[in-house]
Amino acid sequence: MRLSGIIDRKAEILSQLDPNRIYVENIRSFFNLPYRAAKFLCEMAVRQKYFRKKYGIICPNEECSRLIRSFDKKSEIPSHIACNHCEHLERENYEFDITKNNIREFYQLTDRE
Amino acid sequence: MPTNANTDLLTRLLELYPIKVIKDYFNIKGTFAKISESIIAGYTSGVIFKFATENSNFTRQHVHIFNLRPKFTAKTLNLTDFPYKLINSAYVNGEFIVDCLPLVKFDVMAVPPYEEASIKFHLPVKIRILNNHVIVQMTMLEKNLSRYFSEDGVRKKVVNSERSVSEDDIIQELSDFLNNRHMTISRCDIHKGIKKMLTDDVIDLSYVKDKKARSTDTITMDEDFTVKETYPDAFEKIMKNPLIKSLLIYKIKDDRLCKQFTVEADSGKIAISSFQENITQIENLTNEIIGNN
Repeated sequence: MRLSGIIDRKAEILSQLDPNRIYVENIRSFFNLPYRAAKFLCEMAVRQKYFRKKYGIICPNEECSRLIRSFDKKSEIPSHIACNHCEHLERENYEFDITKNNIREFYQLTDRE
Repeated sequence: MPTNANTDLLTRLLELYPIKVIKDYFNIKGTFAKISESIIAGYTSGVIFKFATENSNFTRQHVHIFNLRPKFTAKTLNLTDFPYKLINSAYVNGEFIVDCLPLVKFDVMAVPPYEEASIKFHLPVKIRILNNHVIVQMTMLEKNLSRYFSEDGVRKKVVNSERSVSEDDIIQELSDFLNNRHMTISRCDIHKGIKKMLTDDVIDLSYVKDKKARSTDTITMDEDFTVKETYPDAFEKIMKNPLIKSLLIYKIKDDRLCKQFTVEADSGKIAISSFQENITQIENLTNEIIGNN
């Protein structure tokens, strides 16, 4: 079956997740695929412009772990970031250098019909 | 090794304020280092203390709201034996306000090489007594004490620090002082006031830890999302529960209230970790919480 066919059939159910926050694990569990296949599917969907890829910066504080900010391109990611929550909740560390471990990729469904 | 001369304490006091507020008050321009040096050289400690108390509503601070019994109806209070360095007291707009500057000491151990030192700070405290409530506003002191310790230009690591006068100590002293004047304070539960502001869409939750019957749940929102807007069903359930700790975002596009603040509703504690844009935001916030409570 062609990729566009799969996407079309499942788009409605996928959108129930949150069309602006689709993680590889959402796709993996939905289609019951191995992780690498699900990742490949997402990347193919980006190439065919069904998905838009985003880069989320995750707060490294274990008690927080929230997505602080997201970017469209890797080149836009700054070297340093502050977690507003951790600052206001008076946690000891709230400013961090961004490493690849802090970056979490996710996808957004585009408006393409 | 950090020293605790009068000039050191005054510099540390000025560091607690937004630089713009200092520049406007003293009508001076330049970097913080330059302006603090010239202010300390050109003005008496009294003038700097006056600046500190008049502008304490701009600082990052912890706000504690208490119930007061009996109701305070007088326009003055006998401040003899007040436990801390008194700077100002006045009856303004139906409130009796006391500004004081307790001296707080941190005993610090830093490495390498091993060093022990004490660092002292003047802590701006504003006490507002109004009808049935006492509001105690305490400026947050520098958390990162390592900035005062360096070796050959390299910042040292603070391995231990002990604060001599905690906020709880100050509250206990204040409670004892008021008790001697036949007044009693107790922690004010502000759930009702906070939930009314949430219902009215004045504020929304960006983080919330709430108590369910048999568990404690936490919601930490990504980016700038808020709970009521994003998860209205979950919000309705949260509104029935005790809020252990929450980070609240002011939703109205003006500068009437603080943009963000954390609340421990059952104990009436508010933390405001960023500088304020104007001198009335904290007063407006506390008045609105109490007014809806």
